Amino acid sequence: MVFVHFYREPPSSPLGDARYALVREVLLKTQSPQEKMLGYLSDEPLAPGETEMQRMTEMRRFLDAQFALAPYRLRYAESSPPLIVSDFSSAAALQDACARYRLVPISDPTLGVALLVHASAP
Amino acid sequence: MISGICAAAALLATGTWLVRLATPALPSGFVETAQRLALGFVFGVGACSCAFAVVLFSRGLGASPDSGNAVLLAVALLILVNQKRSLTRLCSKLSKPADRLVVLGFGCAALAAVAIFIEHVVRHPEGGWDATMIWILRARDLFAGRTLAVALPAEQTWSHPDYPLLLPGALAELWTIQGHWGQAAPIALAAIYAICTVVLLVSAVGQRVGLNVGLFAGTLLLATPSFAMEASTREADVPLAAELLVAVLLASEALRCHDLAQRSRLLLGAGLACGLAAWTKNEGVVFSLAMFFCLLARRPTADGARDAAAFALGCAPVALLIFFFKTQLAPPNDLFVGNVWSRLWRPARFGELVWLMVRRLVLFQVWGLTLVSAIVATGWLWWKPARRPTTDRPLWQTLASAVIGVALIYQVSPHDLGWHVRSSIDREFLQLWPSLLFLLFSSGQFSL
Repeated sequence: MVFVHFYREPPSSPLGDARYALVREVLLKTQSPQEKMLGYLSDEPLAPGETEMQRMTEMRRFLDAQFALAPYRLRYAESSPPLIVSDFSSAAALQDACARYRLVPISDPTLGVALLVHASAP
Repeated sequence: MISGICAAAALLATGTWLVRLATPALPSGFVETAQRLALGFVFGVGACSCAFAVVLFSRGLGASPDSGNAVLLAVALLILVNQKRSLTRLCSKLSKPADRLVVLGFGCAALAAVAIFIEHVVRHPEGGWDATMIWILRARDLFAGRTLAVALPAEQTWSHPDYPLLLPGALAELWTIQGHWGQAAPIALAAIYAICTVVLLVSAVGQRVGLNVGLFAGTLLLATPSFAMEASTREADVPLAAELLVAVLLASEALRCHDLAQRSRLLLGAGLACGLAAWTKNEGVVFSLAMFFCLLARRPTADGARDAAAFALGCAPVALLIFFFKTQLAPPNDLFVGNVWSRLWRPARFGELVWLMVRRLVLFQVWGLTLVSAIVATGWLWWKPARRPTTDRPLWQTLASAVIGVALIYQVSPHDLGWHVRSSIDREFLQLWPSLLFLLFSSGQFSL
């Protein structure tokens, strides 16, 4: 039984701590955890489900981001806070989102993960 | 460094004090020492985490666990120094060593469980779904945010901000000692809780009916696929199972004890363990209420009332903490929003729930055949009046009531039933699994 279990297990995808290391570093320099609300934009499709609980528990990338960036709080699909965390599958998709929402990255955007501010911000 | 020494000493002293308070003077021996260490760990971690929460609730911003630990350490040492050793024993000493074949079976199961644990930890270095979404996330909030407001994000209902804080508090303390968050502390905590559960089960059954049966019960627990897997996920279910097992075995011993003072002390310990269980997960509240009412319902009434009062007294300090947390700080639980009573009467949903629960019992990759076998053995035990356990009857009733309580929660839940049952029922059963094994094998009806 144990061997069948080992044999059938697919490899696990790594979680977000490393993916968000740069964003976290910039965040810690610019924002105190007490000013905790950050926006969050992503191209991860919204999961189906009857309740918010069901939907959110399927949003793997969002949960990874929240886990890696604790104690900062992420607001899903929200671009109004002064700082926004982005998690796009490519740098091109991130560029599109920046143009659409008038945002500018303040951390390295190469992987599609970046910390963004409003272009109009001082 | 100083905070680390302080926390370790607080854990050690509090654990020792609470074990001595509840179970004075165990006979010495390897199994008994292991049992005492396991009890001390469960009580010690729980008490330190409670102290951390008290400091956090009372000081709010910038709370440090050090002051809580220092107070706890001082109190525990003071009582330890002044406490005389009691003359009573928790259980009789083990009569004879175990057979080689039984030891071999236990060893194989232990090796398999360790392999599963390591494999899962390597595959999921950050922990399982609930661990990253609730328990370790909350611990990170407490550790890095240093404020309770950060740790209770009312707007993020999916991360269950109303869940109690024993595990996150313990982790935040360990990380404070370490100086940074990491994976080692949650992994170590999960492994030790799992080991404690096995040690407590084997030693308690072994002392009651012989080490062969104790080791067989331990083998069944270790051979349950979900036990090692759930332990490796670093979620709260195995720690909760350990606390419930402590409560059941202390209460079981109390029900056999004719010395009133000793009986009350054992029930105080059982109450405290239930309180810690309720501070670990909301299911602990259901279990504590079930045990309280099942003790209260005992005949003669005066005995039942006295036992229930001792149990409630043990539970009271942590219950107060939980009451304050739930009423003053935590947002409402997502399961009880809206009109709960109108959701209770849904016969079609209840029928579906029973069917889903029964189907889950035979999920081979979670239970193997262990749970079904245990249920069949329970049926066999209760079938004939001559075999039925009499002394432990309130504890059997407690387990049955806890299962009914959990079923009622599924019934009133606003979530899709299939999704809700699929995502949690195995863990609900696992929380009660070591206690069921203890009651089953300590009944004296199974020999090896």
